[in-house]
Amino acid sequence: MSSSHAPGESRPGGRVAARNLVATYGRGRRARPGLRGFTADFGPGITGLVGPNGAGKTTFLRAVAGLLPPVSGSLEIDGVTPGAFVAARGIGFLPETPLFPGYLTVQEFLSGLHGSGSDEGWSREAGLQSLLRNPLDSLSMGQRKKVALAAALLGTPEVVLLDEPTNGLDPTASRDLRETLLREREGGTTLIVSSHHLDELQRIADALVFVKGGRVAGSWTRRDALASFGTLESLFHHVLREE
Amino acid sequence: MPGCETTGGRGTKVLEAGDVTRGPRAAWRWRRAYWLRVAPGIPGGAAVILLPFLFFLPLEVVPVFGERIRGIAILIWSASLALSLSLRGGESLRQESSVWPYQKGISLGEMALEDWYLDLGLVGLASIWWALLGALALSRGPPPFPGPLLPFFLLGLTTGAVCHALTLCLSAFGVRRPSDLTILLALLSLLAPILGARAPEWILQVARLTLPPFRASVELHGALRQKEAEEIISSLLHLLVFSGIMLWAGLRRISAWRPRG
Repeated sequence: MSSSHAPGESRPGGRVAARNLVATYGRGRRARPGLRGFTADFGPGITGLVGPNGAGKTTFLRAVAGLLPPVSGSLEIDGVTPGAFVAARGIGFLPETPLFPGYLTVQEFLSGLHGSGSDEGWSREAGLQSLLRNPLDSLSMGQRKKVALAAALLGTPEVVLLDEPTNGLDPTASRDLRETLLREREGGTTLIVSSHHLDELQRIADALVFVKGGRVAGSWTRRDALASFGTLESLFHHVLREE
Repeated sequence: MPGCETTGGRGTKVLEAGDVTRGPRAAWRWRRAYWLRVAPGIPGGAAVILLPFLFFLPLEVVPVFGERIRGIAILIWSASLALSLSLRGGESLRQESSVWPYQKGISLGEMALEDWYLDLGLVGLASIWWALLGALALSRGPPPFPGPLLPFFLLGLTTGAVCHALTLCLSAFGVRRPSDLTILLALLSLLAPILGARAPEWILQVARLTLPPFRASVELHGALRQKEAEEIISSLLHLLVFSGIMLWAGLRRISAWRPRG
């Protein structure tokens, strides 16, 4: 894993720039527009992506991760395409439903991604010591999310994308996740979090981008959003009602 | 304004592609876990080890074998095909779990190639074991040990190599169960001269060149036993070219593929 930064060391996160981004999901006749001219910038810190179901939040995260090529428009991370960025520096991506090679144990899986063939303290940091010998296909939903988060953060990536990270987590696990994300933010990472749990975002996000119909319907800092609307829930309903 | 900015710099920066792999130790660890827990597993491993004890039976009484050496060769060919199919034929290379190595900058093509080497190495080790016992079983009568050792070993190895290359290519292109198609093509390859007995020679030549060279593995075995240099070279070339093309096409395809995430 090519990273010149030690864990916890502050370094500039990658800057994500999208301009009139158009992307579809599905293929051929089944292709559906996911993004229809998405324009936004993301830098170091935590940015919450909010919006109704089917707005294009997951599609955008997949595009930033280099998993979905744009149809038109541009999408760059530090001036290069997502595919080139991922190949050169890696990225952290936590899918909504993490799928693993079930026959591996947690330790085998994570040490293999780390590239060293052994664990080097990351397991303690991620609170996974008790799960190391468990097969991946035997884990509960919350445990899978924990492993997935540890995997996404391996190699201290500069950009971390999280799709509904708190789904299925109990309050303790949610708190642990929150603390992990705040720690990453202190390290200068660019974190983009798509979530329907607005109360969680309200606690941690520095900024918000509202996605509606495959486009950016608005963007605010957390302070401005709360000053204008009181809560993120009010913001959500307000923007949703707008044409 | 942290996190979200209304203006963004768009300077260009040239990034060199990282040379990121899992590392050989990690590749070995993942593949070994697959062998033990998925395929061939403990029962398959036991079958690999115990199979050659069949060579000591009077195979010559079985009509389809005719002679002991032929029976051993057929068993080795079949076992190599079965082992290779169990290692690589049951599922597609396109697994959604590939999102994890992908996001760490690990090349999916390189991963596939590492696994291919390791699997072929396992087939190679099995082939050595089968060849040793095959030669030993024959040493009770002519030809003397270790004459058949190399032909038996190459029969197992080349059969495995063709099977592995073909299943890698098929699964890289999205075939969910490459083993089914591979078995069909293997049978067609072996039976082509019989099926095309009344066909023009050029059709047989086209079939020979386009079908996977499972028959070439058998021909190589025969040529090595008879020490026919020209046939040895021809069969080896056929095997290498086919396997190389399949590997190249498959690795190129899987390198370009992306999981949904």
